[in-house]
Amino acid sequence: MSDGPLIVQSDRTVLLEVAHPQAEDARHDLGVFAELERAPEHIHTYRITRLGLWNARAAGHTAADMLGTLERYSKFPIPQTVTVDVTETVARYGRLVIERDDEGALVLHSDDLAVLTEVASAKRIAPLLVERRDDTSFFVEAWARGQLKQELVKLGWPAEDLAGYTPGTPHPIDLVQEGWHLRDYQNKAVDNFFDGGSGVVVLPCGAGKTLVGAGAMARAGTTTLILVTNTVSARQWRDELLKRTSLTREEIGEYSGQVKEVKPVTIATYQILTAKRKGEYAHLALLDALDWGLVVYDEVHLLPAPVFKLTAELQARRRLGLTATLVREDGREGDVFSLIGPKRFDAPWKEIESQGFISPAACYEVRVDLPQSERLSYAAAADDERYRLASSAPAKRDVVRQLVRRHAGERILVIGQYLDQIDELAEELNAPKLTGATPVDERERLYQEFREGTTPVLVVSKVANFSVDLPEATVAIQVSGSYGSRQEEAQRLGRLLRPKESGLSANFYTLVARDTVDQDFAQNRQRFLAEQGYSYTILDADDIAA
Amino acid sequence: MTNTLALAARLRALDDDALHSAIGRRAAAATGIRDFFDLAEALLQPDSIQRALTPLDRFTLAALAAAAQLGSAAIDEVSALLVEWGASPQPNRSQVETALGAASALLLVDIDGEGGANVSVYEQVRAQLASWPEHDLPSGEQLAGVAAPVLLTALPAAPQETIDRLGAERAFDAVTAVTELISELMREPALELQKGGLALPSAKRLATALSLDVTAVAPMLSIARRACLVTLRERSWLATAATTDWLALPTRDRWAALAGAWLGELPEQIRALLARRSRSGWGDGLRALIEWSSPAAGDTLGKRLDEFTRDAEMLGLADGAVPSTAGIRLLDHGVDAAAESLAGLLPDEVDKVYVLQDLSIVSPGPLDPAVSARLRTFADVEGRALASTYRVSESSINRAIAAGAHAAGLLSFLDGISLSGIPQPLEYLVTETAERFGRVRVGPLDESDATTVAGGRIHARSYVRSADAGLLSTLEVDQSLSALGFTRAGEGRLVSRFARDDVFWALTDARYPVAAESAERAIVPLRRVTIAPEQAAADARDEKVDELVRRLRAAEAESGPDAERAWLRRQLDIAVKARVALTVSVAMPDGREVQYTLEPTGVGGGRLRGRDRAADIERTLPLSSIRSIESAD
Repeated sequence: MSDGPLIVQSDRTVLLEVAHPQAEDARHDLGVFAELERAPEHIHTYRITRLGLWNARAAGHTAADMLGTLERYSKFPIPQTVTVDVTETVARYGRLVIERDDEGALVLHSDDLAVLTEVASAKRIAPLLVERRDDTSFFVEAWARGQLKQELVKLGWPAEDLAGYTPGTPHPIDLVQEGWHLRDYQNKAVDNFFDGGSGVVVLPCGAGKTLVGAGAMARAGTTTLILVTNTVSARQWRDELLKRTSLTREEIGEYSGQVKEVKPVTIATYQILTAKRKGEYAHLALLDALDWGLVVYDEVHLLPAPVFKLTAELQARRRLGLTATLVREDGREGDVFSLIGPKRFDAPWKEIESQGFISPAACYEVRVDLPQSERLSYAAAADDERYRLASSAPAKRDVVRQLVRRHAGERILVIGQYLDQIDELAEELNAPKLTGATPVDERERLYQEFREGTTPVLVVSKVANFSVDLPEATVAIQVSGSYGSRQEEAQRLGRLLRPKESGLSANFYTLVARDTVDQDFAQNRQRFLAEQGYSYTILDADDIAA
Repeated sequence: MTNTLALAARLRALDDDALHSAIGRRAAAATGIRDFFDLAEALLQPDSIQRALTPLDRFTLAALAAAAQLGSAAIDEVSALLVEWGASPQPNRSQVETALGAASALLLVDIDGEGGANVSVYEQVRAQLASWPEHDLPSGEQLAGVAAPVLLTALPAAPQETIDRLGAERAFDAVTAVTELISELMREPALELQKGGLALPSAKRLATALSLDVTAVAPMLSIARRACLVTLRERSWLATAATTDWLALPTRDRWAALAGAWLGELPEQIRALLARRSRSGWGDGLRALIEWSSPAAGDTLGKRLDEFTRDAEMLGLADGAVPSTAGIRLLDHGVDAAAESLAGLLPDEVDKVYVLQDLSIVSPGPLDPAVSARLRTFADVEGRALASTYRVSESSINRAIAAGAHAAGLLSFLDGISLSGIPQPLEYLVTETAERFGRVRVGPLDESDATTVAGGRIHARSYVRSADAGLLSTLEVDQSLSALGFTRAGEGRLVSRFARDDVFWALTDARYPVAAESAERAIVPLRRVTIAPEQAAADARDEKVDELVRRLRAAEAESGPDAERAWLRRQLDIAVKARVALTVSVAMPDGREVQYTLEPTGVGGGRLRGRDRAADIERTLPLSSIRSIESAD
């Protein structure tokens, strides 16, 4: 024990005092087995989870190593419960092994007969096993590798997966690093991913997740399936791969509502993969169309529920998840962990910002007073109407106008949730609008004009939340959003974080109707970013006018 | 005189305090008892006697059994019989006197004369003790003659440091958990089932708040109850007013209060045993010793031992039934010594905090109680462990301002303790809340303030006033407040049929800048916490006993000048019913007093009838002539 920067608590949380001289070393060593939960400015919170401990064990770290780290940096004695828990949890890993026998059949093996018997008789595991192979092993259904791992984790007996990955059809892909190169953290992310086999890389918007994907593809050198959120994003992926790798147009296919191409590198949308015809998934064949050696899931936090099931059957292939935030509003973070893989790389947003790879951004919450007539309408409204009334209050329009005027000459995104509000704003600002109803070609044209600066103001709906590369956007004005969605807030700020050639700093405004539920939801929305170290300055609308 | 008569007379002669104590010690039920005879009868019922015998220690029971065997004897005779029965080591007179004194205090035996000249055990008590062997309980001879089991090995020296470290950790966790328990009960009381035990939803809620397994909730509740920090009222567990002082104490002293209460409630037999063997294990051997020591207690004392051992582990007094240094010192030297031994092992307190952007405040270690107390006036505790988290909200700032705080004072205090400055959103919140505070005021109306509105009278219990006409109009139409039934009552004023506090919290929840005020328009700070009214649970039981004592005295007084007559009449009734021979003193017309030994056969028409065995005739004596009666046996 020392007067170190860590406070280890009996609820398995570990606090890190950022300003402590040993903080950097402690952060490095702690990250091996603890998950970073919150990273606000002065004190970070990590959590020691079973999955984190098992990941560390899988990477070769012992319980003694991990407890040694805690002892070395802890300010107070390590709670005995934590010591015991870490030791016992780590000891559970690796008692079971998933491997292949000489004929290539999948086998669950353990020298610990009691554990093997316990898991084999579990109700949710028994159906995944074909038959007993010998005293120490069972044959496993060929399709059940993912599900078996998922269930074993739930039972608290994580299996070491030594069954390996299908190498896929070899397909050479090289990074063309001319005038650029992968940044250190991107290389580290690729290394961690490959060391771990499968898993998720978490990086802020604008920090170059696509390049991590490209790096992984180059390292794998195999046919690759890339799953993305929408067609615009699919095309951005294609353009980026063409620019950064040796791949040519002939080698990259788009599999979307518009085009159905299967090529060595195929980019498909989640939507097409989950589209049903006569009650059946109509495009599942894509998954077996080629012997994919790598599957990349872009914006993995948005992975639709049916894709989880499909992913469970894709366990033989390497899977890379990319996201800016693992926060899922549906609470299925655990499924991402089990089926795509554990988090392999993560860096606080502010850390990447301090290295100059994403643009600094100032966040403002602008409190808008409702005039008496709007206040009365709000008060008289039923609960389920109040959020809509508050977030689309006409009083916000004046503030938007003032902000657009204040940032004249910059590239400004005005973001809204409600179509009529978007219509009104577009008309008032005399700016084009972009919603789900805007055709893909039209969207691409508007984005292009925005990038070039011929259209400096765009009024957009939530279609622009994700995967849209608008590097020169410096101002976002969020007029309304999806209630308290934390990941939406993060994604919207993310539109501004790509480094600017203009050198202008980014400004993110959220307009909030004072004394309404809008204020509560805004507070919830800001949580993720606050935990990443972003601070919101609260302004009165009158200050903007002044 | 019968035993009932003798006991009734003994009870009647006690003063109120002594009577109260005696009834309390025997835990006598107050129902159905009209006078001293009823009470004496109730106390000599076999069940009541067994209940009184059950907790007694082996030596007291042995002395009582010896006295019972002798019927009526001197202390020395009782001692001699104990020796004859094989009591070892040989008891001295003072030990026997003390044991029988304890039995006498329980009204099981009557000691007459100086120095215990005559000890007589009530007949019903003798019968009860005589029946013990039939119920697999020890006879008098066994009580005295069977030696204590040999048990308890010495502590292994090696793990003491580990035990102490774990003990300190548990001590800290227990203090933290009880603190959380109090906060949660202040927020919402927990429901107790009719049959006893926490209702499952309450237990689960508390388990979540305490970050403990649901099975650990009841022990924590029991630890807190002993320290009078929580109490059970009408099937609800509530925090008590004592929590305010307790929360302001340093961790060490908070623990000392819990450990002291544990020690204070430890049954005397267990306490004595533990104290004698404080440096030995508390395991199964101790249970065997407890069973030997209190042979009539059955499993009751064993269960209590289990309960106290479990709580001792939670308080860090023992681990795996091996006492920690704090545990040993608690038993050997008391709570201060124990707290002192623990102090060095508890984490150091800090007096600085991190104030974060998201309106939370984190203390990087246990926070100094004075700082914590001040912080809690305007921030709510969100999580308490080694590092505690507080959260500032509009409502918490409002509360502080209502209690007299000012924005500048709050900000200055924060500035003084913050390691990270004051983030702008927090400064904004404090300043804005302070500025807007009290734009709407809610005050009480009493019954006589029934208000006339629109020509009709409504029974309003509170008013809302504001100089901001727009704000009041908004309140009137606000759907979320429609249940309050606001009615306009003149310029700048609404009234509601709900009480002030209900209206205040509804407006707070609806985000209005509201302050509560008294009828005199002075600001009243309200907190959304539930505290048990000032009254200990023990007092509630005492009240029943008080009531019984009052009833007994009233029955005595009701007889007025004829009280002695009524007393005589009641004694005679019982003697007739029990067919007990009496020595009756009768005043003769010439002033002489004559004694007859009678077997009473009836009382009626103001006369006692009875057979005079000596003269072999039936005598009829006027009650008015009887001076006294005594048992002839």
